[in-house]
Amino acid sequence: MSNATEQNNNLKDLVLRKIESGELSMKPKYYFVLKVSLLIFIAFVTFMLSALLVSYILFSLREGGQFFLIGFGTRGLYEFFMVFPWLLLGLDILLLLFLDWLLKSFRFGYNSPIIYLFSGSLLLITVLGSLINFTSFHDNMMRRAEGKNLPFAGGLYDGLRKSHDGLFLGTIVAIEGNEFMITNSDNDPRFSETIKVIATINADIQNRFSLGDKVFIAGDVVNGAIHAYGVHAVTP
Amino acid sequence: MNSPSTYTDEQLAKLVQEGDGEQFGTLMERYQQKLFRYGRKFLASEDNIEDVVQDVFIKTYQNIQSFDVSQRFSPWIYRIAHNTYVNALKKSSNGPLYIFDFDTLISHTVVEDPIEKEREQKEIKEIVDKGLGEIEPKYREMLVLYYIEDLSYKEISDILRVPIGTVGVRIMRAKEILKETYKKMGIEIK
Repeated sequence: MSNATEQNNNLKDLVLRKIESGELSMKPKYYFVLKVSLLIFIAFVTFMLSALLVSYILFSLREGGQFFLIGFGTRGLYEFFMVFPWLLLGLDILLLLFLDWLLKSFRFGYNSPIIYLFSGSLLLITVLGSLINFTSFHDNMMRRAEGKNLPFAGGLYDGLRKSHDGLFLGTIVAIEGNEFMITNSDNDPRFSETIKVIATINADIQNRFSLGDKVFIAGDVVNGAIHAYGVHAVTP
Repeated sequence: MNSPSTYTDEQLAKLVQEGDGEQFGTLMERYQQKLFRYGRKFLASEDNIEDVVQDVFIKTYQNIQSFDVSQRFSPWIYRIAHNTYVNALKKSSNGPLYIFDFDTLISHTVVEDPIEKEREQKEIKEIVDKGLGEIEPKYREMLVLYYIEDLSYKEISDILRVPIGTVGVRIMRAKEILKETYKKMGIEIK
């Protein structure tokens, strides 16, 4: 008997003996079904979390008025990049990488080049995130948070509709040329009941806005007044 | 009635799944030499090869219920072998075995040419038999699976879980490295 055949028989006998004696046994089918189900479930949860995070980022930028900064020239663009929630975006990218790693367990996942898989999943969560934003999901969540009925995620919605550094929210109560007054809706201690706004750009305030309009203002506080480089009406 | 030797691998695997442990012996007979050869070339060592191959069969038996009998058995068992050999290599080498592979990042257009494969197969088989120890494991494995084990790009893609394009690129690169390596050793390859 050749060495190779002898080696084959030895190994075969050894493994078969282990099977017969019960020392070696198969893992049951349900173990694998559970494993795959768990994998699919975790992938689905990660996907949904990632899409929700994208929708929250979009919602918070819209509600906080930061989105309007993009239309306020170079300064606005710079401020937009400064206030953008990069940490949340980073967290979302981490979730996406984790999702892609999970998807690599499936044939369509490992057959796709990493760039395609990443771009595809990014596109999908962005589309889904935008669609969620069209629904009243975040509005409802915010309402619940404001009514202190959202114990776990309430903090996420706190202060979204308030003025931020360099970005102010208020209702126009008086207009005179390129200057106007807004209410101090957030009771900002730097101002009295109303705040004077001076548009430093040719914003055509008188023709574009009316009394009672709710506006976002991007600008700096100088001598108790806001020197605005951008004004945008808020859709009620 | 058919004897087990006429059954396909997938039919045998189904019988094993149904509890006929004896049929696992027939599957072992079919794959033992292949897995020894693959292991020797990939690990580039004879050390503990018997233990490692035994480990492959043990894992195959333990996990056989996860095998989908509508698929081919061969890439499935090679996948288990690949994972087991990679673990064995990790144990025996100090450095990281597979760090991030840029070949998997983007798409590559490759065409598998059976005529070219046939032309190169005999020659590369002979060269590979002389030893592949000088070549990086990820390229060594490609040459073994494609030229020695005669697997297709698609099967290799399923075993290594990389895109088919990456398989083609790695085989092309592996051939170049093989030529370079043997040129340095004074062996000319066409």
